[in-house]
Amino acid sequence: MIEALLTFILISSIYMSGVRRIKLLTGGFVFQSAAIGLIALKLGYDTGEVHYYILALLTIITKVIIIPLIINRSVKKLKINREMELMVNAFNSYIITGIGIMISFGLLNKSQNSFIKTGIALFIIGILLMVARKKAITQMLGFLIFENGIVLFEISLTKMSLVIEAGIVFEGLMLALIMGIMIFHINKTFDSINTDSFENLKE
Amino acid sequence: MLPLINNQKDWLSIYFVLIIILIFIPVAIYTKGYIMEYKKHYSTKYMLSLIIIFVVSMIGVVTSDNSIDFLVYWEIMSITSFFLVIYEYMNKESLKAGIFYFVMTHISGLFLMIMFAFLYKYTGSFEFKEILKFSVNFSLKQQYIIFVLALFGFGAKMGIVPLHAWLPKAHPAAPSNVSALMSGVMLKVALYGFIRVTFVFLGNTPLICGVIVLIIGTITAIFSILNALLQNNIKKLLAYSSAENIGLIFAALGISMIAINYNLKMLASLALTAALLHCLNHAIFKSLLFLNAGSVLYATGTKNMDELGGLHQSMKFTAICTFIGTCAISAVPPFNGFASEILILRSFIEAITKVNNIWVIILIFSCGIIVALTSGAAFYATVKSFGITFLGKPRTEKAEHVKVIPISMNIGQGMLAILATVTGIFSPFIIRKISYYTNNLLEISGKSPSFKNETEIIVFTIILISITFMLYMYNKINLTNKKQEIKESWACGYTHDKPYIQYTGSGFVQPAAKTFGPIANYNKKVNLKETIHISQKTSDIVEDYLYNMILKVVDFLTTRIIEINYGKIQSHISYIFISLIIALVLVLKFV
Amino acid sequence: MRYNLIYFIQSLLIVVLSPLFIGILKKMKATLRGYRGSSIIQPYYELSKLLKKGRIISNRSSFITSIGPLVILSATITTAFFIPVFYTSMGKSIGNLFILMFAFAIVKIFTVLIGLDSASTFGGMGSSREAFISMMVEPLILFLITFLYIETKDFNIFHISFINSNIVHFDTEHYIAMVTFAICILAENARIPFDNPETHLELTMMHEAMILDLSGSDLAYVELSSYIKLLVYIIILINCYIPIGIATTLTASALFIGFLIFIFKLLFCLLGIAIIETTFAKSRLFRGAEIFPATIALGIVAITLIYIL
Repeated sequence: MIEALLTFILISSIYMSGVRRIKLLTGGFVFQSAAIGLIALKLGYDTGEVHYYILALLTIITKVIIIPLIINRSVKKLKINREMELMVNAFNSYIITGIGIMISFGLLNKSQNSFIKTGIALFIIGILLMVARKKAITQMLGFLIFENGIVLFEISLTKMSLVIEAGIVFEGLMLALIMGIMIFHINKTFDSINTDSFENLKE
Repeated sequence: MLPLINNQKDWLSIYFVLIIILIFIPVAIYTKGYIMEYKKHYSTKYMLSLIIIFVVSMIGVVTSDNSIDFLVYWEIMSITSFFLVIYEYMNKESLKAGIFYFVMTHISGLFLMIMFAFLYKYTGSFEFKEILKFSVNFSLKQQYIIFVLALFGFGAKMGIVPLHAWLPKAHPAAPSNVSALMSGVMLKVALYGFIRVTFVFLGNTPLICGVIVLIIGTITAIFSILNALLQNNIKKLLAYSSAENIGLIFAALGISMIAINYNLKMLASLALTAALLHCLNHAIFKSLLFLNAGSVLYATGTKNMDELGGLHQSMKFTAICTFIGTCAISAVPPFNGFASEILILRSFIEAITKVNNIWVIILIFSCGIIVALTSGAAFYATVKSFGITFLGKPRTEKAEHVKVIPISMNIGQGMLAILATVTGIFSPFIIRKISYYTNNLLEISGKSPSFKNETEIIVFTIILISITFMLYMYNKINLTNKKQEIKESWACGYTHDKPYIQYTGSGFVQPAAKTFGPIANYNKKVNLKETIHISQKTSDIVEDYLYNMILKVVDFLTTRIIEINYGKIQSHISYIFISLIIALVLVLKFV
Repeated sequence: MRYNLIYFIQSLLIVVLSPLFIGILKKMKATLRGYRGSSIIQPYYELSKLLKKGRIISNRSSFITSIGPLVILSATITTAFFIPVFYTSMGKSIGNLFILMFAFAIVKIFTVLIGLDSASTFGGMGSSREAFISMMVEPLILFLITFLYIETKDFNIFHISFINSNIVHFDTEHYIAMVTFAICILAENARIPFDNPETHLELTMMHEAMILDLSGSDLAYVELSSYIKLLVYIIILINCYIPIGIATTLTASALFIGFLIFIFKLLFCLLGIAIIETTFAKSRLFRGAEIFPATIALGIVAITLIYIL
């Protein structure tokens, strides 16, 4: 069951590295976060510790319900819904994702823990989305995927502290809220959220 | 010192002599008719004598049993092939291509001389038998040096990236029968040298050598085939395709070297058999395709496939032979390219399961994906070459007025086509024979590896032919009372039947050009003035960046050196004296 | 090579019944879209109608169009004799996966050349797109053979389905590899999202563009071969990845149960294809070609996972 869920996380990250529409990206992100929540639930069921359940609850509430709501509201207000020009085109993004997954599984072949490997694969996807895309919303989603990777990484450690986890989750939530408001203001001032044109700010 | 007295009775030499003679006989028959084209301006006796010396020198290289013989025959081979490349000296492009080729082949000769010098220093003898006896005691550093020198020396002659830039210039510039010999046989002679040095002399090489060979082979394959896709010149496309097949053979050799290192002898034998079989098959079908390109050039006078088309009506026999050659190179069963292609892929797949180092597995797996992509691209490129040249309607005047091809050219092509079919259908027996010898080389006792899967190809062919025959009979019975008309193409009801509505060669590969364009420096410019003008050009990026950079550095250095006191004769004599003293000191110190 | 009578019969059944299954597929698509659709045996009527007509050949076509459709049909029928349908065994038999997959290259090369043979724009367009897509499909075929070899250490498709038929519960990467091969089926048989098999508009043709100039019995042979090809690909998918219930002994009850389960699995796969054809639209050539690196990444995931476990 856990293997299947980890595979779904990898599949969703491959899917997200090449789509253009924001709605599809959000859908993939929801799928990924739901899978992480279910992993946390299953781990809590296996070991019986409370903080796994709380982690699952937090993840599902913030990342599956609240953040997509914020993103959808921003998309509706701004009337953009896809990213036309990717800096690294979809063909190459998929190949980089595949190579990244292979290398991360190869580097950590010795350890038995599959959570670390999936976590590092998610790091690579997050960084790819942050670096190789132009619109600010996609970059924000990249950062959120990066955070999902950190959550997975943390689940693999045996001594997990609830405080750190709650801190990460709330930070993600705050980030989403702030970015939602900021993007609206950026768009109002400059009429576009292409981060390329931020270069025009310097004289 | 003569080859007939002291020759190697080694199976490897005999195998390559067989390849040389097997290709030479059809090419010689072909030359009898093809030489008529050159009777007016050039001398035919000159070409015939050069070809004979060329083939004899290649047989000499392959059967020589000491280093001095090898180097002497290698030099004769290089020089005769240079003179053959610049045979059409009235054409300026041929001269430039020939001089480029001359420089590259002497770079390879230089590295080979250094390599044999090192072998003499380590083992104290020039005889191959003695070197074989002493080579088991080579230290790691010595193995590295010999391997690197062999890689550069034989690689410059084989055409691996980045030493391949002469290949697409020299092979189109030579006359077609010479191109067939050079591309089909001379590249294999360089491969023979590489196999002799790394497998027979060095034996068990370190892991990094096998990895380097595998990576270089894969990069050569994918780079060359993506360049081949975008060419309009038939012979340049075939030259790049030769480089791709050499890359495939090199990758199979790399897997064999990695397998020897991990002591997986069955896998090493499989990969080596795959490489050797592909040598034979590639020689056959590449020579066939070059002879066909020569026929097209003889009949129409142009090599540009965008000006041709519709040649199947006037050159039926050549069209059938080219079709067989295209099927063979695209790995269509039951021709011979299929047998070697599946052996190469099979060695990749079996290597993934048997090796236990995770990084090596990742490397072999990625190279396997790229090799699969190159075989698909080879299909694309050669189907373009056959389809645009022979099928459809003639696109210009040159394709309509076609000269009659002499019968000797047809016989030569037909022999190679029949050979391609026969080696394909009876490939299991050939594989069994080769694997017997590679097992002996790698000291495996017992039976040959389980190649019983490959006997199915005979059953497949029998079933295919019988079903085709039954369908043909049914078709004939079905069509007895029905009318069969010959009209113009329907083409969705388009009535203006002009030749320029067909696809051109560059249009055919447009999806691949858009996706993989940067590899071949693909530039497409559209000018929209009074008339719309589209120009497309490709160039070799290794040549543009690497070679031009090296040439600029050499240029810079030479201009600087010339400024040092040019003209005074005393300074020149003193320079010579100083360099003589330095050379003496170096020799005394290091030998 | 023991080639039992039962192998011969089961492959002959595929060749004869393939238009019926394509008729079922078209009926499923019609039902999903809400109209009644043609009857199940309509493809038989179409083939017999085409066989009764005469032929018109273009004045610019060559030997490729004369012998091409015959060789395409005979190559497809030959591959139908190389696969297990509802009975398999472990004996020495033909059925090497390499020969099977490369036999479709015969079909591909003739189809692409028939497209160029008609000396029209549509033929060249269909051929160039088809060659481009089939260039990208080659790594997926390599994934199929590699994955099955890692699991069962054998290249023979009869042995693979025999070995896999005992296992009931597969791991996740098995299903991921199945999805990879399913995309390969869609690409090779000109289904959505790579090509629309129903239209004749130049923007959406690929396979139909290449055979635009064929008529009469030539067209009947090529159509029948495309039906058999789709069925052979689906049978390879079923018998390599989910061969549960296939008959492994020659008893009458095992054969009967194997036949029923096979029909059920086949109808399920056809329903899947019908749903994909109804819900998705054909994508542009370069958008469709972006699916291939994603599928290669998916295949990398599958093969990496099978190494971890």
